[in-house]
Amino acid sequence: MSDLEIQAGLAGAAARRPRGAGRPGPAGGRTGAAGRGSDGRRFGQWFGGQIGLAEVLAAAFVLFLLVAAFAPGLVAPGDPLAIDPRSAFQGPSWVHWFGTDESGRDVYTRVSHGTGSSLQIGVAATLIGLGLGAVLGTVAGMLGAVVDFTVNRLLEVMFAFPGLLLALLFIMIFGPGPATATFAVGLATAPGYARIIRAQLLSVRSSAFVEAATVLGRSRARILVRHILPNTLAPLLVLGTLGIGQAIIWAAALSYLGLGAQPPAAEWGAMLSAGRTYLSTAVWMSFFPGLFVVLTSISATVLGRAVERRLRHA
Amino acid sequence: MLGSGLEIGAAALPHFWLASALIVVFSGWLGLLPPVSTPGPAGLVLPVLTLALPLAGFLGQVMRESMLTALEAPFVISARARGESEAGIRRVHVLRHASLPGISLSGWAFGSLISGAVVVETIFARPGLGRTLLNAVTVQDVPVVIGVVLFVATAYILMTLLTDLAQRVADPRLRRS
Repeated sequence: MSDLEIQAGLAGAAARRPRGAGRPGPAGGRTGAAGRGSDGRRFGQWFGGQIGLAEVLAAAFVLFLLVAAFAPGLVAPGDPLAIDPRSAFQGPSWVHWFGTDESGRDVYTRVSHGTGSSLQIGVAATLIGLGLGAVLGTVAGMLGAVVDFTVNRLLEVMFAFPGLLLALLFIMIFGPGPATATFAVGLATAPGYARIIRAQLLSVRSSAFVEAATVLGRSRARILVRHILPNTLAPLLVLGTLGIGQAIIWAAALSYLGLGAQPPAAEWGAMLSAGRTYLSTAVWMSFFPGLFVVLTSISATVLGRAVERRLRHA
Repeated sequence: MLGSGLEIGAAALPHFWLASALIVVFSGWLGLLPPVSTPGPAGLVLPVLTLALPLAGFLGQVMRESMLTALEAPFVISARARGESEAGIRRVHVLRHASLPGISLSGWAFGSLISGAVVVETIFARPGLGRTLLNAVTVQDVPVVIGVVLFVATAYILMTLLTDLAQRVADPRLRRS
């Protein structure tokens, strides 16, 4: 569902842009759906209207994820693969915060240690999607009508396949596994990014400062690198942040279907998949990995929207 | 404000997790509905809810955004100046205007539902196209995969065409040009 967010961003951006300027106020124009709780807004006024409670919570959660990704031992000292059959299927308690799974492995330890691989897949997939999209979009936007036409038809063909289908096709060709799943998600999200980048490029290209640079006799390459690309790439930051959340959900979905990271690995999707068998007896085995996927996705969205607001009002 | 929180939550809900939660609540704790998709209406409830809730959240987001845009449009100001009631304005003028992005996204939403169906049919063991596709991908059964993908892509394109037509019905400006 990755183009979901992108489409939302597109529709939202189209709907919001004209309005943002005309609406003064501490929250600085109407913004995305994120972080607009009423206390969030009051809280946000202390920070110049840019940061609300939701943003603080999201940032704190992302910070936790980053620590868990780079130094999982700090947040969960145990061994994620250590089995202890005597304490299998224990519910959440003070000893095992998130309970234990069928082999007595601690779910909290596994979720924390899985953060690294789950984030890695999400971030890598987003980068691949953005990279491919940026290349395709730039090529289409800059190299004349013939190339533009060709790339656009190519994108339309890719758009004709719902996202997950494209990913599944890719996985069928290259076989399941974490690396293929990452590439598959990246590939499936690329057309959406390409389209947005191309649109952005075209609007920047027709702006006054580009015209001015052309009149001043700057070369096309120089205009592209110095004037057009910087103005095109800034929104990519927002798209990327918004995209990571969806990419993580997608990657987890692929793992859940058994096409990504495989079960012994402490990856969120794989853990959810393993917990499915014990859904009726040990809910916590699926609940907590899924909760982390959801919280990560929400945090990424909240932060992405905050960055978006920041860029628009800078 | 509460609505926006619910929407963003619903839009971020992955199908696989939502399905698990629904199974636990409605067939585990309450014992109302079957955990696997049996033939008949009862077996459809949970899979349908799983697919519908995130989509509802997403379309709700889009709809609210466009509703707020429409509420500031000149035609609303003129309607207010004519003394129409606020509820009347929303019902007659704003709602139609605000539903346009929702309509144009529903074709695309159909595609995302098919993606979701792969996951949901697997969870609820429902022998549909999505599960056929997944099984074929797992065993690298190329002809079946190509067949399903082409079928779905065709349906998706037809759906997009239909939404384009629906948009012309809903938006008079598109008919003029």
